[in-house]
Amino acid sequence: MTKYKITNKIRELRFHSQEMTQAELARQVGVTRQTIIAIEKNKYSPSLELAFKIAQVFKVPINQVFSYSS
Amino acid sequence: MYIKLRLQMSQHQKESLVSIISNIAVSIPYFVFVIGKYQAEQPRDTEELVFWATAILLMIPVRIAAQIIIYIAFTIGQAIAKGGELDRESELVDERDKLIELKGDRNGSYLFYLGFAIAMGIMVANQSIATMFLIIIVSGFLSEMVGLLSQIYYYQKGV
Repeated sequence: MTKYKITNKIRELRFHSQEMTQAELARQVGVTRQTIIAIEKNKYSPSLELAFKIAQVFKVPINQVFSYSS
Repeated sequence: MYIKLRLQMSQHQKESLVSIISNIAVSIPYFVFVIGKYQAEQPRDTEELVFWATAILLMIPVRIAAQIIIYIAFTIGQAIAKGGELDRESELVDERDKLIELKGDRNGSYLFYLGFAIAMGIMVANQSIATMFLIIIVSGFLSEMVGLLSQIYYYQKGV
């Protein structure tokens, strides 16, 4: 059975948003910086609500932030 | 379960570690005290049930009071180490923290269910009431430890 994984481009999107810090992104979406670090390292898959909030911060569709692939 | 403890721990991991330390520091001496008292008093029949029920009920306020004191000491210690600054982020509990707490509680609960089943088995096998209560107390202690250690593990390894 193929194992699928959620990956993200948050680090890249932060870089293109004038080097937004993890702390700033965390503040804007209402989570701790540790959670942003865990998401960036693919150690935690956020809830759908948090995923939408993150996409909203970067003003991009959710599929440009997160992808689901094998 | 392999736990890789790094020096760089998050605030929530530190809190779990403090809870583990306070759990050991309070529960083990209390447990030793109760065993000593039981051996000295040698209660029988209904007195024995009253003895163990009292021991379990008294353990709750003792542990709450001790944990409050230890947690206050930990917070003051941290504030001193950071030059009087309070870590505001540590007060925030987000969805990841809640998920980790739930998973830790689940793991701890499984162990307690097992301990409870063993304690009932002990009664079916006509063993002493003291043995049954000791198994329940020990499984309660171990389930909390497993829950807290699981939380540290999930913070480290991811969920």
